[in-house]
Amino acid sequence: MAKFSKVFPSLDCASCILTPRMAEVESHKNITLLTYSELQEVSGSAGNFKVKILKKPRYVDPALCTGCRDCTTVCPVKVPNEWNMGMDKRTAIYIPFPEAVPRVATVDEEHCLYLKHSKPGKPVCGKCVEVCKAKAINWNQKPEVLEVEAGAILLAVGSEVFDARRVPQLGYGLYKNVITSMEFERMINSDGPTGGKVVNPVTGETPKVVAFIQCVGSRDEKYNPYCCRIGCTATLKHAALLKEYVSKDIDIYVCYNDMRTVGKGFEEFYRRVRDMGVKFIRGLPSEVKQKPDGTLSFNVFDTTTETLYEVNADLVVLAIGLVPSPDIEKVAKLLKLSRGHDGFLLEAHEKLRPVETLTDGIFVAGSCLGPMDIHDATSEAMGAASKVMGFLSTGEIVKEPIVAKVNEDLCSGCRVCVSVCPFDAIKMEDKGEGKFLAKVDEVLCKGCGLCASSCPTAAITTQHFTDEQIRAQVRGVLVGI
Amino acid sequence: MSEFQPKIVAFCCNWCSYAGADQAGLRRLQYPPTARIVRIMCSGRLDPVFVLEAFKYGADGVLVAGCHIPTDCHYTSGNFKAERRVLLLKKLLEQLGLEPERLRLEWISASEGEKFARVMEEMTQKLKELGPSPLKKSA
Repeated sequence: MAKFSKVFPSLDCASCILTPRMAEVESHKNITLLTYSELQEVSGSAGNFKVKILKKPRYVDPALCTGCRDCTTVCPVKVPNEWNMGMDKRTAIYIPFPEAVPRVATVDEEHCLYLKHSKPGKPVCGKCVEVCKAKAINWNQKPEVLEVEAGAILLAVGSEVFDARRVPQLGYGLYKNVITSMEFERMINSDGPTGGKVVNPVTGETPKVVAFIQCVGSRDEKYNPYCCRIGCTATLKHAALLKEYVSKDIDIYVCYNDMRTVGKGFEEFYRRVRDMGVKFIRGLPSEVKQKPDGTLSFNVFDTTTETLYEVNADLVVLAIGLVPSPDIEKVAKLLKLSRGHDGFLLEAHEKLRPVETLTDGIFVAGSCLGPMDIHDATSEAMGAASKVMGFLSTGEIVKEPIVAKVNEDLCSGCRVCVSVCPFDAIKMEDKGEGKFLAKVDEVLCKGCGLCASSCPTAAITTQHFTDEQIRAQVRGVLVGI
Repeated sequence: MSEFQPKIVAFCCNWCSYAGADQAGLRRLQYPPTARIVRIMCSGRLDPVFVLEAFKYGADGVLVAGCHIPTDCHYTSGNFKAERRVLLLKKLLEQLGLEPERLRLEWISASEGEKFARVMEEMTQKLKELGPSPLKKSA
């Protein structure tokens, strides 16, 4: 949201909504904000988690840095700016965007000349140190591992945008004037690489004809079968912004699959954009080609009028969908969470427990669960926050009695159960004299019974699903009938 | 003599396949009355002994049903364990003189009542072709 200039359907200013919230979080006395940090390890169970967090060195003392950005004016390194989707360059010491919280510069280890090339007694560069009046730069910062005790964990790790290069026939990556919706967002943002001007990247001029192509990477068995849920309304927003803020005379085409404007006020917004003179074509082009003069051209069959159109545009914008973030697998492994077919995290129950996971004490919200718009993400976040409050304030948790139990007389201490347990619920307990026996943590145990089916001595079993009970059932359904 | 009706023990995991079987019932789908469902919490709970015991007590076929791989398992990875066990069990069954087709592994989600009914139909058909379990004759 911080990357957007306006949000749909009201076209409210995005940073006016977000910036005060970020500042509030930073200054709240009960919130410790750890940015530039990574989750390393999670142990323990509900009410009693132990979390290890890696705090990466930013080589700038946050207590001293005033966020003046003098350092960024002298740093000689220029690398593609991720914040602007690589459309411009940033320096090796940088603040990603003006409203960033905390407003503290960070040195990018990978590209900083001082960190990469300095030898003892022979420093390289170090221009930022010279210019920093606050003396905030500290080359001696080391990675730090914080250990935090937590009663509950709430995951809101978000998602990523689809890589349009995977659909080469639409020309992204081949033709400079084919851009993604995210690049368009940065362009039309006054804080973006073009200072808020929408331009054809080839000519640098305001485009006369802009074509939007929907469902790029979404609702397609070849890429992602699911709907991205935001693409349609986001494109309507882009079209409206072009008409309202750039020029009424821009010719706009939107090629769509189905216009899915689901949400309060969204359909009305669609109507408004249609009234602005935006042309909607129900059909998707199979290929975008560039003409010798640099303009883009494609054929598209409109299924509502049964007509084949040829569209010539200066700028083509691809509405890319949402995909799970590349780190989601790591996060799911660390917290032992399940993921769905699409790779997003799975909630405990899609209707009844939408912001909980199957592990007690771990809650989820936002687009790490699946594509969603800002309204849905904030609703989930608030729901999850109140779930956490409820969970922590009761002081007790209710558990199903279906958990594993160890018969210590039979346990040989082989640890097979420890290796198969998906929840790390079994630990070896020291019984003295070199004897270690399995012990089940009943809070962590979910009663799946993997341990019971793997135990070579039948020492471990699941309550209510013991071997005897299941075998009796098998006999019961077969003998005499 | 009436037609041979095979007995099938279906081990269904609590979260996907048991709910899938329930769905088949809720949707009033018709399938042969050959299934005898035993609920287990996870397909990974399946001790190979349960399958052998089922054959010992006169089952003509056994279905093991769990959540879709790779990611649907309620317990993250139980379905993979079930898959490995069933593969090994099939080899073992062959050595015991049973056709490995008598044991079937299927991933059936909670919304796939239709698939449960279809699998039961197919299994029943297959077992009718194979005839009663050879273990029954020797018993």
